[in-house]
Amino acid sequence: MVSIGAIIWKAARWVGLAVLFVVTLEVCARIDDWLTWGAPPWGHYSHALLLTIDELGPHCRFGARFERWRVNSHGFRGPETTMQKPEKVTRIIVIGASETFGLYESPEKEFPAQLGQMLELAEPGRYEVLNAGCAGMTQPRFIHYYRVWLTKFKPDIVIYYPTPASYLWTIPPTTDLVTRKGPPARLPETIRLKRKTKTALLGFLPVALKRHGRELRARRRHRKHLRKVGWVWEETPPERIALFEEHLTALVEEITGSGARMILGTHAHRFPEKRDAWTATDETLMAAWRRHHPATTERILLEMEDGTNEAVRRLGGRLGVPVIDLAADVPRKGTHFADFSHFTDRGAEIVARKIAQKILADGAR
Amino acid sequence: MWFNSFDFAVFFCIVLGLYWVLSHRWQNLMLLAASYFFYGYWDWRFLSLIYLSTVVDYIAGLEMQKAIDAGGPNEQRRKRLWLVVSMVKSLGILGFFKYYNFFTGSLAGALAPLGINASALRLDIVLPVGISFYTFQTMSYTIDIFRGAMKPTKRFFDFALFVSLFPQLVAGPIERAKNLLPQILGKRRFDRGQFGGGIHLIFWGLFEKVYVADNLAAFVEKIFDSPDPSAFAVLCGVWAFAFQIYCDFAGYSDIARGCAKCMGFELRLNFNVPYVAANPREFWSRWHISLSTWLRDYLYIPLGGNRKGSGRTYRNLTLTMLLGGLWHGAAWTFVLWGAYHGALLMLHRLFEPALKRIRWPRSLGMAALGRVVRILIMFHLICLGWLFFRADSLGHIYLMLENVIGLRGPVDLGLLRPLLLYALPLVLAETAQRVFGRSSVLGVRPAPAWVKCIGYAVLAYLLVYYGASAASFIYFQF
Repeated sequence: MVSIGAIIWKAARWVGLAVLFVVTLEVCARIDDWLTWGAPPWGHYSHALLLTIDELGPHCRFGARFERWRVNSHGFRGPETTMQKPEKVTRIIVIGASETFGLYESPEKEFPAQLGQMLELAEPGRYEVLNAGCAGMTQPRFIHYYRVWLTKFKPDIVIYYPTPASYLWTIPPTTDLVTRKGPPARLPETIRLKRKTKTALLGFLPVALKRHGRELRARRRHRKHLRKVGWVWEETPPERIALFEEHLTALVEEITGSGARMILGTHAHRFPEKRDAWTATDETLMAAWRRHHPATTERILLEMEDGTNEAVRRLGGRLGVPVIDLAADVPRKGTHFADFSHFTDRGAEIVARKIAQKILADGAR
Repeated sequence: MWFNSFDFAVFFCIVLGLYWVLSHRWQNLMLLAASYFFYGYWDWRFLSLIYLSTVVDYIAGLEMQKAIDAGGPNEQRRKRLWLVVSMVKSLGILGFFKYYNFFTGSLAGALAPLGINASALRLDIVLPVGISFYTFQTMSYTIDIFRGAMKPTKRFFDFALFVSLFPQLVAGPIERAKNLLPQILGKRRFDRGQFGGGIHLIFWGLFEKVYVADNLAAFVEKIFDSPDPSAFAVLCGVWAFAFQIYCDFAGYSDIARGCAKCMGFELRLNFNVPYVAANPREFWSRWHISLSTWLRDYLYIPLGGNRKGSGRTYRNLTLTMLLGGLWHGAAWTFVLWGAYHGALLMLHRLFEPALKRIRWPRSLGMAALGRVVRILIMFHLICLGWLFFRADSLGHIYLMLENVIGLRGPVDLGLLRPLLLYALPLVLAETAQRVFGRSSVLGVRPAPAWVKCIGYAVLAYLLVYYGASAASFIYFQF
């Protein structure tokens, strides 16, 4: 006859061991971050470290570091620079959201970095490229950020790679200024294991299962949106495309008004035009993309891409701003896109090459 | 369905769950169905080959036993006839699927200078996974019956399970019927200790495969694909490959043994820390034990072994090792690798008396030092063999050896990083296990539960967060 005390003791022992197991994993994760990335063993450590909100609005935190991503002391991804422009140097600032900042590329392979390397190779010492891309940054935010911060760097050329997806958010980007005075907010302590486990699990699960899971979650979020907000889009909203164009016009006018030349790019994505050419990974990533935009459907997402790209081309013609048709130039393949719209090294290389060709051709004239 | 895949994890959990709620008879039938499913998951067409092997060897075994039971002057003739049938079937399948293109390709190469084009002989043949393993397993069954070393089973489905038991079906260990068949025929009882040991082996095997082998694979590939690697790079590449192939194969064997153990089977140990071998003979008693003992029992000894003088012994050794090399793959590099190990064994045999006369100082420290020196020399001799094994062609071997001998290129110490990162933890853990016994990962016996818990957590971390993405096992191609 086993006594209750013995059973409780046995159960407590197993619980204790399970806790010890998890705590050891967390300690390993912290030591790992410290050894690999120089991360502090204690305190917050996540991608949120890269972003902040202050009087400049939301932007990349100056001097922030998270894993392979480094932001210099002036808020640009890449090596240190000076505010004072070096003599006889054409300064190029690249703005855009996460595609410009770079998510999946190897270090120094994001397209602005590759653009700098290509220009340096073609005309050593003539160009300086600064990557002012920032994940989640919308067009209205860039208008403010450019006005109060980036103009201080006196760019000669500004390249903008727009991301239209934010115009499918329930509440679209607005020109209302969101700023916060005072020191950056203190971020809470996070469990490092959580993010690492999610990444490891996603790598381990078969594509079919991931696709199914993401499809289910996308549908659930779509239904939830309908239930809570009361509407979802049945058709591509023309007012959102118009808003995108309106904000883009304001941004272009702000930049060209400061005396800088501007180059625009159309937004590229990985999904082939013909539906039967889609791979299982394409399907999975489409479900993941839809999950970020619960009010939409696959058709609306793709039509929005086409609609906003058309708006970019139209605006380029109207305001005399050169447009590089990256949506047509980057092959819609898994080799060029790591997810729905973020580049691999190869994808970023094509973007950089197309822009470099344009700059060098304009420079030669 | 690789052992390190999600599919296998789901498959094994379902099989294990069902297994322990079924009666013995149904356990075996369910395992047979699961094994066929496991194998058919690659390509269901290859199931026909396993089925053919099973039927022919089952009948051959029974017929040989009938001949033995009947006795008389025809016994030997009838036994021999059925053995020939079984061998023709086994070697025919193996020869056609694995070696046909190799021999016809070599023939075409030899005839080309004479202006004869024999390339039309080449066929588009797909090599069935694990064919070398289960063919050798069934061959040992019929040979043992022929020799009177065991009796055949009349239970067809149990025999079919012996041929196809999924943990060891595609990459060994090559089990003998004498060991495995009685375990299949007998009842298996759930034993907590055995089950725990099985989980430990699976865990350890995954660590060897996913953390060590797969992470080293990328580094090895980079060195071997380099058009002109430096001498130091070749050395690092070969050292890394030595650990990669060991962990790849030993990892598979450990997972196989672990899975079998969880179901109450005891498969034989296939690797016994082979790189601590101090001479070639010891190496082959520690490396791929199930194959080396198979070759010894069914090839070397029947050829005469070492009983008929030095000349015959050397011939037998050479022949056995050449065939051992060819077993690994249909390419001249594998033949060269086998010949090289044959030569090592011969030289060791030749110089063994002289080597034994070398008197190490009596003190314990010096004896240990002597052993370490011999281990290091043997390890580098093995590594030279791995160079033959891994290289793409004879020209590739020549280039790499030329660079090493010529001490070409700079010494980049950064190349040691993957070895320190991936091979060193293995060496430390293996050393601990060797010193303290194999009962726990940390090797501390009896370790308190909390120490084991921390040890397993560290291993789990390396496995999950540092394991390379699912890659195939090298030995599946053999």
